[in-house]
Amino acid sequence: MGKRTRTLKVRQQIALIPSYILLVVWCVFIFVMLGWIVMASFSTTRELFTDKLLSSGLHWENYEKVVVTGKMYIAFLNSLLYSAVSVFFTILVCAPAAYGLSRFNFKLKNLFQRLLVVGLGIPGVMVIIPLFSIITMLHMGDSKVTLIMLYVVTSIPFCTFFLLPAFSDISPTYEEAAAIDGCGPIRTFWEIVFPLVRPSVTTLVIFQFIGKWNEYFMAQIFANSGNNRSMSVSLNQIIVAMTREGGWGGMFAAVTFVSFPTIILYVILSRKIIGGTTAGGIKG
Amino acid sequence: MKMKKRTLFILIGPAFILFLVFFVYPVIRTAAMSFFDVPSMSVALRKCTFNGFSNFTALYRTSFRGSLVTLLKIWLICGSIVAVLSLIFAVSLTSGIIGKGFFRSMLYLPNVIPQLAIGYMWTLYVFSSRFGLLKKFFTWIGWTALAEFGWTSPDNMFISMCIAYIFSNVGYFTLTFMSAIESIPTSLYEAASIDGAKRTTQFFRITLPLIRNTLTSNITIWTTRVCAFFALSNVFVSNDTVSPLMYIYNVLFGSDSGTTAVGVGAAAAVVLTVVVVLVYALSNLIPKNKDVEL
Repeated sequence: MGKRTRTLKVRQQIALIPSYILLVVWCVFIFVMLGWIVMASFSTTRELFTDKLLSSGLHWENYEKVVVTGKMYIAFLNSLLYSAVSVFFTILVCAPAAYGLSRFNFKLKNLFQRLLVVGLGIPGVMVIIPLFSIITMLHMGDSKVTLIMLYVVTSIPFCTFFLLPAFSDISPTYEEAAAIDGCGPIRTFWEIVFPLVRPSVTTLVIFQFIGKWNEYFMAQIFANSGNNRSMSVSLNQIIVAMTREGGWGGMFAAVTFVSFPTIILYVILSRKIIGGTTAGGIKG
Repeated sequence: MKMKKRTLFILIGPAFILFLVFFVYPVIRTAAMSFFDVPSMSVALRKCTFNGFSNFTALYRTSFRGSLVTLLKIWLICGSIVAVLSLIFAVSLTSGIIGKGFFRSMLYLPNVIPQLAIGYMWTLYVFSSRFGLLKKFFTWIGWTALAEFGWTSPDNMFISMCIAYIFSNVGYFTLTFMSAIESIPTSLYEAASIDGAKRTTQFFRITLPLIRNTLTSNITIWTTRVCAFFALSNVFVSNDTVSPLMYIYNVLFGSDSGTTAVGVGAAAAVVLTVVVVLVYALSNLIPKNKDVEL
């Protein structure tokens, strides 16, 4: 590197100082906020108010109180179930549909595609009201199946459109070769075409999983009783209860317990997540 | 390629049928409900009487009107701040900063945390009047007036909610702007520098016009996000923090259910939908910037 380019680099970095300050402030804020909350989750209420976090060691009982006694472990398992099962069925339904739409022309294709486009913009409430009404009429109360089904159905428009370009990019010669070898079209799809779009599917799975894990509106309506609560629903309930009795350490334990699964997932998959956000135009 | 009808049905059938039965039909039904006098959730639609637009006029007299104002305020105020902040971050991160990957990941981090948890992080800790981060920080630098500011008092709830909402949204929009900026050929900036254009001039004359498509699509995404505003309304409780979705929730499923007819709640949902669909349609009308391939 010549002397001139080096001074140019230095000058460029000096010009960036305001940007650095801004970014560092943001990062420090996040670290302080998350760090303090994690420390507070191991402290007693008294320590919180006297500004002496962790002075009497780690109080794991805060976690015991919310995770075991407050049954947040059930909420954790529920959220895992809701996200994993709904994402599985979403892919199972949308991948073949996207493939079909990308490859073949048929009478109802136009209608289906138009309905999906409109579906992209319609808020979930519109779907919920009649379902809730039917459930009330049948005295069914809330159930895990209803919520999972809602998650799958409301994901169909977005996921189908997300996968469409990936299938269009694949050359039909693969299927032609498979057909010559006597492989049926459905088997060809799952065994030959589907693996070829794995990068797109992986991105979609990650985003759908985090999206459903964090979903709150539908969960609050359809998974709001005892053993059906999701993480967010359970968090709300625990915070409301603990505010009354003033268990601050427990409240921060609950917030930490709800936030960290996705944060850890993000740390592991951050490259894939950031790439996916900009590549596919995920609406989050 | 030729395909047997049966194969096509196996591929597309499940998605098509599920979508028709559990999406299209309920949406149509909700739209129908908004024109009927539906007294409660457990009354079948065929037993209800048609009452034209009176659900919509009834809606006008409820607090739904206030919630629409809240929505508009969030859209406009938070929207402009998010736009400015994420553009600043995006430009910063694309101009040769060291540690770009790390900063980018940190910016996006709040996006993956459940919004309810984000809300509680702010109300329980950052905004706390006893051990809050802001209180400590402003006391430390000696701005006592700001240190004493009641972030969680009902009057200031809306501002506090906006701050938390902006915090959890900036990252996503920064990423989209970044990828748009990165696809602008660097030769344009080099030529501008040789001609003596300052960085601000370059931003307004080169960057901004060339990321116009992203700007338009971000407005649509922002609108859908704001219309789905719900979790933070649960955390920041005050009169002016109720979003339309929160209003619908209260009226139909929550604590206030039974006080307002179901038809009125359905009408509220229809109004919200019309808003989103209109924005979608409008953003499609804006001509795409064809001379740039972004």
